[in-house]
Amino acid sequence: MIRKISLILLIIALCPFLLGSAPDYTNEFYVNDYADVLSEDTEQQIMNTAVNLANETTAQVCVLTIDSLHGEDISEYSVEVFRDWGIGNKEKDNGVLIVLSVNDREMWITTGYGVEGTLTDTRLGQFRDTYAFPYYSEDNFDEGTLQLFNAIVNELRVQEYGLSELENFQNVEPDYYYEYQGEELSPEAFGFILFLLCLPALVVMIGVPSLIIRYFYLKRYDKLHSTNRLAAFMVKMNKLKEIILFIVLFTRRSSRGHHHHRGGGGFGGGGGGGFRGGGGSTGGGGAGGRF
Amino acid sequence: MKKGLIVVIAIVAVIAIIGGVCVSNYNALVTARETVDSAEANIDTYLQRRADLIPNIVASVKSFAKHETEVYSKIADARQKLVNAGTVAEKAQANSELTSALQGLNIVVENYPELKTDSTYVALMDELEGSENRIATARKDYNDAVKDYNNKVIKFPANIFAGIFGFEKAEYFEADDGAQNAPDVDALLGD
Repeated sequence: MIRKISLILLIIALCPFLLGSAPDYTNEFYVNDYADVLSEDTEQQIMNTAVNLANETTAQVCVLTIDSLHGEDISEYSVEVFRDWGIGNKEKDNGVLIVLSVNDREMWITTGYGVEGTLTDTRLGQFRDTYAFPYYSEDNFDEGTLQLFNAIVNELRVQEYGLSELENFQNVEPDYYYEYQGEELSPEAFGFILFLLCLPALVVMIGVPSLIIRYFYLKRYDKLHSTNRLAAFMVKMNKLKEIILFIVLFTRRSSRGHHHHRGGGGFGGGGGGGFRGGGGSTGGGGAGGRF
Repeated sequence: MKKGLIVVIAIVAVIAIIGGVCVSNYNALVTARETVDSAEANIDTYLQRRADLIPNIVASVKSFAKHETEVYSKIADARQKLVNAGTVAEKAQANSELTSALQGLNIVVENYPELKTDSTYVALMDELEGSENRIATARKDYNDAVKDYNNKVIKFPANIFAGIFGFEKAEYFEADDGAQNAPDVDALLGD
């Protein structure tokens, strides 16, 4: 019996490993050097810079190095890891993930929805060509990753958040900007959908008790003033209508307010028990390539 | 008198339960349908983004290689087809046809080394690749949403309500296999 239970527990414990290919993040969260190509010094620098950025802005920039993708497409793999870890603030989607697969000689930078405007694919492509690939092509993964990471954090600090430039980092101005002029993704009509979903439930919740109440009252009115039965009923229904209207308006307003005043919460960096993602998501934006 | 009250309460309770089941099933269907629709809107945004990039890319290649008119017109046709596509299946089909047409452009570019390092061209290609990855991500999210929704539409008991309220199965975003796979040059040459 105990053996059976422990076997089942073992299978359950193994499930995450069997199901997804996304690795777990380390205690450091921002540095995940599974390919072991980063020096102690670089890891420490990345860690300090990333924690500072997160504390100041809630933005999270993570580095993941792996030996091999095992045939998977690097951008799809990156999106998988990004969403699994929940990089960036849940409300702001301001995460960035750098994935380096050493044996495949591929690198990919994935951006959260919220920073796509600053870290455009073009800009990231320039960072790739300026900071990462010159070093990567000489197998200097340590320096290339540090420079690329610094460039991304610096861009976020200055362009997105209006903070000071990173110390010890020389920014290279881009020679060409491509600005996408199309429409942006509209935010989901979250509040309105919530309201629509609540409406039928409200009708049932209010309608059923009111039917019961009506039954009792009508019985009593029946005895006392059977002639005024209809009038009394109309008064009750009018009151009920006001109550329903009030509740509907209230839920509508509060659910909309909820939509507008999101923010706060969700960010999980810092603290003693290691770092973790804030629940951010990505639509697959970013740049990278083979070196 | 008392008996009548009990009967009425029992009837009300039954109606409430049936109503509750009805409402929760209907809401589940609405939510699933809503997810599918918003996922489709995401795909549309990124398809549009990709289509918007094409003229710029063609122009940047044209400035180096003027005489590849056949390649350019093929791309323009494929792009137009994507812009005009209506249903999900048409969009998927047109999108993969545009991918095939763009491969012709890559062959042209191979002959112009200076184009490959041109900063405008590199930037546009990064944007194009970014768009394609966003489409891939949006397509996966959409197909997951469709799978979830379609399961609800055909499974008991929601299928009853789906029938009553007119919920129909949604299409997957999938292209024909033939168009999706690039022609294998090695196989054609009998390697």
